[in-house]
Amino acid sequence: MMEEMFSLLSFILIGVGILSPTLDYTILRGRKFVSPWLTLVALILSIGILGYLSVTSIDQPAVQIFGGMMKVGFFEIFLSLIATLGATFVAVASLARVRGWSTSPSFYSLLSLAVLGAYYLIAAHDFVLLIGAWALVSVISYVLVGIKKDERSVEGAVKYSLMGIIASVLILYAIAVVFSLTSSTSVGSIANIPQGAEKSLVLLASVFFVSAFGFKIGVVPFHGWLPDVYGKVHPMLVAFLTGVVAVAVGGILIKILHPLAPLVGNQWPVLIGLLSIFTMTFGNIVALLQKNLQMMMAYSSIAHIGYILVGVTAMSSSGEALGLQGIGLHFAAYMLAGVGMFVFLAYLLRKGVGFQMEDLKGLGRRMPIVSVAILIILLSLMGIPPLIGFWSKFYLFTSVIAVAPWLALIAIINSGISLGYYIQPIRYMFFAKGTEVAEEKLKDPDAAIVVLAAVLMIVAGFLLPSIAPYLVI
Amino acid sequence: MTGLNFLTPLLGSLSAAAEGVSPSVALIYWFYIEGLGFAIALMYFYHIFVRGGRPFYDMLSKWVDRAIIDDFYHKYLPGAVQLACTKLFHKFETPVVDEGYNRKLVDGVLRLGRVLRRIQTGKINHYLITFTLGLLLFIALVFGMMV
Repeated sequence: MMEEMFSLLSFILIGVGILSPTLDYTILRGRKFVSPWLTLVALILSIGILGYLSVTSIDQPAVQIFGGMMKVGFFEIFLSLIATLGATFVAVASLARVRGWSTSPSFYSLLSLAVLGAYYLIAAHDFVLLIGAWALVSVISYVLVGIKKDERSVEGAVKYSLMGIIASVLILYAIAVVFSLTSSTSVGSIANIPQGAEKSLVLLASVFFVSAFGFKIGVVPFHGWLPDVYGKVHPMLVAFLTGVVAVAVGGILIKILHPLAPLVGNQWPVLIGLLSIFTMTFGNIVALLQKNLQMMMAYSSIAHIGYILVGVTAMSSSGEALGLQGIGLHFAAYMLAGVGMFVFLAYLLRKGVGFQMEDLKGLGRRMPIVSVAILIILLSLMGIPPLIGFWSKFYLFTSVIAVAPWLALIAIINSGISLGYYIQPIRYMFFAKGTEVAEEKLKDPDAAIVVLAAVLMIVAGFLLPSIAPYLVI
Repeated sequence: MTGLNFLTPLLGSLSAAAEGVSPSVALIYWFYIEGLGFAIALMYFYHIFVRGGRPFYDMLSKWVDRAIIDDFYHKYLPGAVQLACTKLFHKFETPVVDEGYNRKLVDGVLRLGRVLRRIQTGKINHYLITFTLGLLLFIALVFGMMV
């Protein structure tokens, strides 16, 4: 059944991806009416299918489908569901603005194809499929970053794609190294590498995989493109990167590193732990200096990838299960917060409000519901209970206590540092008298998505910890 | 009256001694005699032990009052606490908490942030150099640890 369902998902998303721009550009002669709604229908259908699959597979072992090319279990379906929700939020929020762009049919088409690429990437169990899915997601993300065709978007897209080429080359190197050890293109073959195998090759493959996937999600020092893209490109496009691309790439990174961790041995916690420290400390400290909310969120995204790496550090130790659960929960929190915040920025942009902290003055009075939603999202990012951000950090930091208590301590200190900058927008929105800005309208799709993201953060805080034990690879 | 059953033989003997007196009157007399006995014993105790030990108690209370309450509790202890607080304020609160934690640490973090932000030049060649150097450093670290 799993294979049929994934075939159906592929059929729906490829169909809509190809059909919607064709209809809009040719038959409807550029009226750009069909593509947003067709994409939305496709995404909602996908959520329904994945929801059904998640219920049926919650306590079942992962199954291999398409001749072992994909391996799908609850963990993969959970991440796919998060990515689809992220894409749906972006599709709904973009109804307000993106529909006006000349390239909007392409935007929606690429969105549905990117979601499909995300499914393949998350569930890839063969390196050939992995390369294909990686290419699909990467190329679409480069194009989507530049799709607005203004100077900043094009600059961001060029930087992102040029650096992405190096990441792609590193993945190919890593796969070549693994192939030289296993003579197989199956991801599962990594687990069969004998303990006595050439350790330098295993380490080299690990370094290449971490660098390549780390580039895409913003692991320091491979993050160069991220602040320029997340901080300067249209926030709606960044919401797509946070909600879909980061989740998909994070998912495959975890699946590849999971069998590699025991082969690397005792050095694993130190290596990944160091990357985690660099990433979260860099993200948090530089975010402290930002006076621009979008730039602050860009660096905050880097810091959150550092937190996810804390869970990766726990692999092959007694905290592995807790680490995986924490990673799953944190991707949910990261998607909701990232999409919520960047859609909020897109909303501000549409309302003519700037992104400087000063521009947020008095927003709490003019846009009370949206401001309260942002307050909830920021509290979740801080890790305040009972929001989902608290649970994910709790799982992640607890997972590493046995193997690297120093990392747990540094992560908690970093989480404390982050309060310093997350409190700033709250201060300006609620405790400063400000200039007149337009009032909120909850009928606006982007405002509604911000509120929905905040509500889901509360719901997820109560619901997701109970399904976390099923998040196993 | 069942609780007083153990008194019955005693009351009986008393009644026998004072013919025609009811047991309840005998009981009242009994308490009177017993109370008298207790009062004598108490006086004896006071006279011998309490009054006799008065100089000792006077001396003890004088020393306890002066040494412990007046000198130690009211003088030396507050003095020591005040001295410790003053020292703590001058040696720890001001230089470590105010100057160090509140100023220097924050300044340091912000300075580090400004240094780190310089990585973000906006130029792709700089990012590629950072990427490559990071990768090389990572590889060196990995293989360094292996050796």
